[in-house]
Amino acid sequence: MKIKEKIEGDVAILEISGKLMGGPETQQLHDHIKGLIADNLNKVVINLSKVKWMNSSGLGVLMASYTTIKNKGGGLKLANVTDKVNSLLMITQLMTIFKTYDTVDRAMASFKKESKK
Amino acid sequence: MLISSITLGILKEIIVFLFLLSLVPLIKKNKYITDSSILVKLKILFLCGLSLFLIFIFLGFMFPRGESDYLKGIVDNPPLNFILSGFVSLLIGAICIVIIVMLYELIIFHRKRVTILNFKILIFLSIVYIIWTNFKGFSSGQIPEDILTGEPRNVFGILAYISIFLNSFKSSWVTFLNRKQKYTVLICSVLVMVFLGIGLNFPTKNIAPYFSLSVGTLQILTWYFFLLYAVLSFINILLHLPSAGIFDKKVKQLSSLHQLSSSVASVLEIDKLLKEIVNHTYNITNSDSIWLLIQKDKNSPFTIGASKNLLPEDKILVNLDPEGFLNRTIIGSKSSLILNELKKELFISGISKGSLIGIPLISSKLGTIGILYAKKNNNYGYSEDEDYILNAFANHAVVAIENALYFQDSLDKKELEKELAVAKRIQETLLPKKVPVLYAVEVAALNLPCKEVGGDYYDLIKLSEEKLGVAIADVSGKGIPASLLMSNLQACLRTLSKENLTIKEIVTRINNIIYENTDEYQYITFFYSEIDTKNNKITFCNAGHNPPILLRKGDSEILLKEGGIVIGWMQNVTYKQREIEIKSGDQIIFYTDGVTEAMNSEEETFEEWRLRKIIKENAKNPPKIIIDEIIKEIKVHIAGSYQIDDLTLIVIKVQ
Repeated sequence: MKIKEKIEGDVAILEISGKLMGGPETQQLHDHIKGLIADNLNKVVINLSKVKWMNSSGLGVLMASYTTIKNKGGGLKLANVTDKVNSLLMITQLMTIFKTYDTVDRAMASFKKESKK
Repeated sequence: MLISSITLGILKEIIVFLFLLSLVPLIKKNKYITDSSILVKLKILFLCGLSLFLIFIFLGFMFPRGESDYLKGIVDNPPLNFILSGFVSLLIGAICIVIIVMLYELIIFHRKRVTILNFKILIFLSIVYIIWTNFKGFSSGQIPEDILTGEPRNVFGILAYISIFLNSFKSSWVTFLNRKQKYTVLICSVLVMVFLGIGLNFPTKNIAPYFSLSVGTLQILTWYFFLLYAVLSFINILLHLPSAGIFDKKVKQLSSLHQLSSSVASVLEIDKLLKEIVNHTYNITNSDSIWLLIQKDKNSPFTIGASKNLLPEDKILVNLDPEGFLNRTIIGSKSSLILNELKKELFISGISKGSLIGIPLISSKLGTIGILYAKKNNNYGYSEDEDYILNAFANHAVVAIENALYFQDSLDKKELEKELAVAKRIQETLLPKKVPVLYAVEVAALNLPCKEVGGDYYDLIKLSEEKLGVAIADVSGKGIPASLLMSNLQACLRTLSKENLTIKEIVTRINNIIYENTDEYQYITFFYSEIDTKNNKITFCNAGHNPPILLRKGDSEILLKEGGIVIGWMQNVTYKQREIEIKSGDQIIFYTDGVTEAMNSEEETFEEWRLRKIIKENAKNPPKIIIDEIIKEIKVHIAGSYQIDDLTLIVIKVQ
């Protein structure tokens, strides 16, 4: 798994590639997000377009990341969710919690809308 | 009186000659000369040369020479002459033989085939020459001129001297002395040259022939042999001196390489091994500071595995990022990098002059696993030669590191196996041992645990003769943490299901309890239902689990979806429940994702549609057969690839 970070305004965009299969490697994602929060960046878009595979442990890391961000009053959005990940979110009924967007730009736009409110 | 003097003289010569011959076997053909014995031999040689010199000085004082009658006092007394000159002859002869033996052993060090033959010829010619001088001396009644002056005037002498000259060129032992020893031997050889050279100009140098013709001949030959050998060795050492330092370094490098090879077999603790690699590198290169970067797995940053004499100034150069300039260059080129002038080449502030070498540690299996850096505080510190030896060294080091990593891995694995065995036992005790028997439903269940114990859980609770509680769950994660959470879930469920609570209340309460007991990464997908055969209905709540399939007798399917999110993640979640009517002949299939995610070698999963298809095709069959059919199809699908997740299936048929 690899994480590429890009900051646009006050939103951090993390592009993940590879497999989200749990274990210390996936843990990196959560650590990365903790790092962002320590630097006062609590709006995060995770771009999952290059995630081929995610299992229950991988989902666990996404959930932990979500909790961490929410606790700091921030927001986590998922963009470019692949079919596999999508079906996992459907089954676990987490679709109701995680906000997913077709593109990174749309996820970004939704952050802007929220801050205007 | 005169006759007896000559007889005694001949007798003395014969005794001395036989004595010398008896010492010849000291020159052993099959003698192995070790490097360490060279210095001892040189010491003996030097002492023998010195004692020979002192003996002649002493004799010179004792018997001041006045032409041929200088032994006047004792010549008149043949028996005394016999004993005294015999003793002196034997002493000088013995010393000469020792010198020759020592010279021989030096000459045959790193011998070639002709070396020994050459020396044999020398011995043979010397014996012939000795016999000739005896013959000449006794036949003429005078000491032959050429052993008095040391200038051969006959063919035997000339041949012996030529042979001495040829033998004196072999001094390959010089190469194997270290720098300090070379200087010592050089000084000693000068001393020998001075002693023997002065000796040649002493009037006493020719005193030996007056005691014995044989020893006289031997002594003059030895004298020249030793002198010539000292001169040629001196020249040889002079020629080797410039390379003495380099030679020392080479020896050190080789022994370091050798030591590392032994470490390969013995040091299995990775940290200790890395430390040793750094120390050896230090020895090999005489660098000022060394650091070794190691990458435990791909894409992660480097860590400093070990270092030596790392000063704050050097730390500027230490970059743990694989994309850092130096690291990237070395990893990219897969070969070593030498910077001869750090200050000029790197443009980094705080770097003063110095040179740097970086060697990639390339494993055949894992790719580049690390980089070994060495730095010297002077410019142009690393030669091509050092680059070469360091690369050879790095190859050894990689094998050692691989071994250590592999060993560590297998240790970790053992520990994990132990943990899994415990987890497996916990899981086994949690699952129902028997399928409950109810009048109105037929139940079959199967749990296939995989090698790495997963988190599948199911329960069948007989609430009354007409009511059956059915639960199925998948705890995220594996091993002991998952099984502990599972036992937690089981305890909650067993207790709450017997209280008079609605399904959604049970799930809500379980969620809150489990939430308290999970870490941030853990959750459970959970489905709970009650099948009521009296009122012909199923009431269920699905908390994020793969929806069970209700297959109507009339072929239609209903997915049991309603409920809420997975349990254990958030507190105070509101769950919904749903009630559906069931009729005789309906089948309900509960499963975990191990069924739908069963993967073949093309990474193609079994998927829900295949499951539904089998169920439909077997709708008329009893539950046990349906499970068998599903397992059969899964096995066909994965076709030999191993099962990744554990899987659970429950099939319930309404009678």
